[in-house]
Amino acid sequence: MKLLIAITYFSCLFALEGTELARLMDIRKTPVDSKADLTMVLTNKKGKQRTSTIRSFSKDGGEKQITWFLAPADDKGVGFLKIEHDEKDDEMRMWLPAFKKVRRISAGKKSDSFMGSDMSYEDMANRQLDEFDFTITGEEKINDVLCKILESKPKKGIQSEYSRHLSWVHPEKHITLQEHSFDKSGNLLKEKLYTYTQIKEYDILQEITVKNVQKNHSTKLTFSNMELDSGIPDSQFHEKYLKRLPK
Amino acid sequence: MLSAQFSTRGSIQPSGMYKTSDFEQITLPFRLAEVQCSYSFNDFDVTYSATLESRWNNLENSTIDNRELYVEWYPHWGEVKLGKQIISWGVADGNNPTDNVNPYDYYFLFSPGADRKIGVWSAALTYYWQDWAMQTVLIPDHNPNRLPFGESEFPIAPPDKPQAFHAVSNPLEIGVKLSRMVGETDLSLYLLNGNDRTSSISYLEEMSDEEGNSISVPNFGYSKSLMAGVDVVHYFGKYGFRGEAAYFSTHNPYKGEHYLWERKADYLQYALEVEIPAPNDIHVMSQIIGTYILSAEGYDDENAETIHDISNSFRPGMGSPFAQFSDIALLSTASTSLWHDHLEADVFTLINLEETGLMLGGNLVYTFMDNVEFELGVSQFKGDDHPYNQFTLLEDFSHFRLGLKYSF
Repeated sequence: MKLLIAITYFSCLFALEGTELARLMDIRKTPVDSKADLTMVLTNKKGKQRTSTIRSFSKDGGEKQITWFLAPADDKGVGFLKIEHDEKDDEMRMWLPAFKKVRRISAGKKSDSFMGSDMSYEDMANRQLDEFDFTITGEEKINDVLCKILESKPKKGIQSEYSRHLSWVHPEKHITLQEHSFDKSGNLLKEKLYTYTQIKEYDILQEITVKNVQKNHSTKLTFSNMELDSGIPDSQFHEKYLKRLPK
Repeated sequence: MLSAQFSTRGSIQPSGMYKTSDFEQITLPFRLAEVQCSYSFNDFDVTYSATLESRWNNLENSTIDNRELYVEWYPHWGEVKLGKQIISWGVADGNNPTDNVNPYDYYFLFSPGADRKIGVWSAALTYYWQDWAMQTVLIPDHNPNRLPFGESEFPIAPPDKPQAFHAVSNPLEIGVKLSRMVGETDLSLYLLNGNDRTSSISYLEEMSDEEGNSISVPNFGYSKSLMAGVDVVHYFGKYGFRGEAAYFSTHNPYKGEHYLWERKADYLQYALEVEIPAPNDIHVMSQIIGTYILSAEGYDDENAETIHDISNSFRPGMGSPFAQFSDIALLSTASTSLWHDHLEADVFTLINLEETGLMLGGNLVYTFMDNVEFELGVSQFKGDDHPYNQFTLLEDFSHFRLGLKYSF
């Protein structure tokens, strides 16, 4: 009985620590807005690659995001707008130049691939603190940094393609250096690696590599030409700007 | 954000169509190349797009189609667009009863998206306010559908271009679209006061033939039509619903001294679509497309003396072009991307729910190197023994397509 109480006590303690770590990650200092060029390289199991170039504006920690495809040529002009809402489903829209239409996309289809990459729309969205249970499950060194391993499980009723995530979190900077995401059956689905650079006082993502271990596909996303806190107005995140490639 | 920017994009896409019955080449026109150039400065964009339209049996007479040339201004409150342009209305995939600003090019009826439409000189103003958007469109001149008159290889083509057309008396057309997001639902209302895109008989002109006999020559024109429409998009979790309906009221506006071919009709067109989630990133869509004639009266070929019910012979001059094939049909598609987006595959069926008729097809688009695609597509039509069944007429048009596309 004492053992059970002790296990329960420590489980609660780790859960509290996990929630606190998730909260620290959520409130870490980030730019109000950012502009960046992204190079997305998709590699299949035979090593064949497809490269896309994307221009991206984001604000409020990525809650508002607008992106335009600049290359390859047949995707040029496609625009994607995402606005996350707390009280209702996120709003996602695409501008399809060939159809001359802004098409609303289901926010419920979060598991769909984003433009054929290994990232789903869910991977691109922020994890809401009240939608997950967080637990610290251990510690492990990544690049000579002793990281805390944070487990995130979606709460009952939350739509997700995953059963859980394990994130290797820098203990002082509160940034994720590596993440493993598991499918509904509990099998490892994706491995994600994150590299950061220091700009001003911020730790800014410089590279993300996502490998779908079940399909043996990978996506590498590299950020360049970054501009931070340039004062992007909220009005920029509107469907009318989807149609217009930014200068 | 104040600097200027010039950008171009386009493609070269030789392609061929061959009958599935005997592999004979179908020499209908195709677009060999297309280009779009845009120049942006401050809050303005200038866009020009054109295609090179060719036939394999007559390449030397290829023609340039200047499809769009417009200036767009982006003030903080909205958009203003002036020039020759294509404006798309409606939310359903492919078949849009509300999408009547631009006429259709029936040579490219089976092309996707805006490729099947014809640019028109017009002014469009869109005003955004909170969750509302209002678009007003003014079209100063009437623009009809482009029909494949006399094309022996297009089995449902009109036989010959009518000799006598009368001009539209009031060509100015006005359209309004009002959209808003209500909760998690997108809702739009439409109004278009214009003229039919497909012609019909307007009046009979009494003439004498070479032997002095009195004959009636039909003169064709375009009925005046008013369209009021609505569309809605809503997602029930992973299930998407897109609905679209348009009510049309049309009449022959001609008032002359000749023998007026009386005709007026009210009809409804609709497209109801569901998006059904499927595993492995397969997108499944099912759509019911229909036309319902509420009332139609006037003369017809069988009785040109008295005004009577012509619901059975009436054909809409506006709305989705697929209304020409069937009064009610079920379209289903499934599409997916494979091999890391290198292969796009889709299959579709169009089933005529009114009489025996079926269209089956599929497309494979393989990107085998950067910006170069190979396309293989097939469309198969099946009708019955009835000679006037549109799908029976289309049986001989069953074909496969081969194409290469280089995008730049």
